Amino acid sequence: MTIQDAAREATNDILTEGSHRPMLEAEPLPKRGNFAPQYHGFPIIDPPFELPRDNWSWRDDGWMFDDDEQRELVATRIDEFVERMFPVWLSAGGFWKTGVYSLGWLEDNKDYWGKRDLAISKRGLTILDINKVVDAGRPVPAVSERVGESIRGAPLTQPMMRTIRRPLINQRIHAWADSAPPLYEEAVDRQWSATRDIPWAQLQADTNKLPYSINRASAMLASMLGQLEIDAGLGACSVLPFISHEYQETIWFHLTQGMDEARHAEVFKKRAVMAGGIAGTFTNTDFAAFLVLNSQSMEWLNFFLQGVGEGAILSLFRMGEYIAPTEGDKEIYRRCMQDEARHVSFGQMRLRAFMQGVEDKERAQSEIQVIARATDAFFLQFFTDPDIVEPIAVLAGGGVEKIDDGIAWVRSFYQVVRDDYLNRCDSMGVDGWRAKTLLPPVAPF
Amino acid sequence: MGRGPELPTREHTNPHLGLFAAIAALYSHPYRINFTAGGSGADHGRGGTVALYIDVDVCIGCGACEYGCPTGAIGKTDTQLGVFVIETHKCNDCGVCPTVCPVDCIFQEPESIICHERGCPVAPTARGGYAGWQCSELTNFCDQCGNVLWSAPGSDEWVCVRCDLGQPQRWCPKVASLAKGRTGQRLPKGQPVVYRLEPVAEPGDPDVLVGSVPRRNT
Repeated sequence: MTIQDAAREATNDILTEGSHRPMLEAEPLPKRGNFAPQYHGFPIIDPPFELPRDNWSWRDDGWMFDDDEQRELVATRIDEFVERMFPVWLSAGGFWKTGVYSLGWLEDNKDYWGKRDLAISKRGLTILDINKVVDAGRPVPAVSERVGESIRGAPLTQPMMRTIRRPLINQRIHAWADSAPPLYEEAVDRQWSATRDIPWAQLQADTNKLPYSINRASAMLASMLGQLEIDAGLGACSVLPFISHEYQETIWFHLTQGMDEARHAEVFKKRAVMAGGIAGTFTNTDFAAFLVLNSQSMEWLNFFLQGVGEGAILSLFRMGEYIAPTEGDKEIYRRCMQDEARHVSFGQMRLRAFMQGVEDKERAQSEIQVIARATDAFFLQFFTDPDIVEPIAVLAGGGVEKIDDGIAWVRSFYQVVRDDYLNRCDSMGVDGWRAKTLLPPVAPF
Repeated sequence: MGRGPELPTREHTNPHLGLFAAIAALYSHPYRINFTAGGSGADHGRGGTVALYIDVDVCIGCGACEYGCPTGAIGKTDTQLGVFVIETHKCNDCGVCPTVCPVDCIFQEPESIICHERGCPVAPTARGGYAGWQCSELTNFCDQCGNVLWSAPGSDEWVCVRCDLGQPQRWCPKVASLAKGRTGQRLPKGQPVVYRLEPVAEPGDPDVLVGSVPRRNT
């Protein structure tokens, strides 16, 4: 029987097939509180068919399948699923044709319905406002059994499906940040456009007056930052499929960070082109990308990407006033700086909460110090790479002929970055790193 | 943007000269918020300081405090560093912002007069029929006990609810916290509160921060 035949038969026999919803009527949901029903024990189903690999193990050449046999195998699985389910799906449509409706959704979870005593704050209806209703004053669950992509607070009316192969990060201590909802709101409010909000015309006029060495140095710095920023965006988003949607504000915030970093990469690429051209590739930046794209935990990411890596870039942007050769550059740094500060804030507060709240503090300290060691290596490589340091020195000194002054400035900048880094380690609860760090107290040049 | 009191613009420094000085300025004390002589205190005739203040030398401009503030009292300054400040007359001393600050740059100013009736025993919402009473806002104090004085609706007379009305439990929370903070213990019975407010600065006076302000050790 073909799929079409099955569908036709099912449609003709709709009155005996039934809808695909009756299972919900057979198993009434356990109830809990206000808009946050208990769902432990609710059915979790596997995907309807298996695929040969997940998206972290794609084929090297970009094609879907290894060979014809594998392609046919997957196609057969999809066909089997469709053949099995088509009659059921079509039966529902057949019911409606006869004026019979399920309306099960109208009856589901009536006890939780209607409690919408939302207090709208002055800023508007914020996430925190709705969370007061959704979470009913309770903290988000310490452990989540939720799989799939359903939103926190949703009564589970249909089974949850395992959408990815690996288990989700399903513990509050590893995924949640109290600061995520307000920082997400702020991120949305403060979006800006790299096309419209930078005075490009003025910047172009100013750039054309600058000497070659300054423009070349600007292009080098902008190229490095453009590469670094997109690494940060990819890193922030790389873990998102693995986080339970019970903690979805964390996911939302990371998505805004991805957007921020994309905009930063855009603005620095534009700046490099305006200065004369995209100037180079940077191994040190690739090392940073390696560390964020292969993060071993959320804490790894919070520490290296948001807390420290973005923190160092924040320090650089704060210094941007002194290395920016034009007012347009200052505007770029100012706008990027507010985004970076938000990312730093998120990472720092999340890791601080983790270090304070985790039960096995000794293990947490020992693990986080591994990535701190790698961070030391990243900083040392950064500050000894001539393609990074010398352009900054030229910008700071005001030209290649004043590079000695610039190197003196970079020497001071190194200490600022080192101090900020160690202060952030203290703030995040990484004990004793100030004494253990491999970074020399003064710049090694 | 720019909702907070306007900070003086950082003096432009030639980026190619005085590099050490530039860095030193950036990380030392480039700004000084003049709460007493500035807009907030003068505008409201209170001459006081804010309940909480942001150390702009430490603030990184992340905005967590602004979006955590329930009264909209915190605003981003239109400066290069984009740091935040607290508007005196909007802060209700709720204490949320220090808990969300990643760099711990928000401090409490215990001598704040901006209590917004928080903990006030003579607030309109307080029990005992004190609706409509007016607080002297730390400008008039009881000679006997040192408590702040209130005025009944329609009356020009300042009254001590403790001594004049015989309700010893009705302490102004600000006065009580001041006394507790200074002595390290509860107020002794029958003893006047010993505290001192710095003279209120006149507009144009140099910066005056009232009382002792905790500073972050950096």
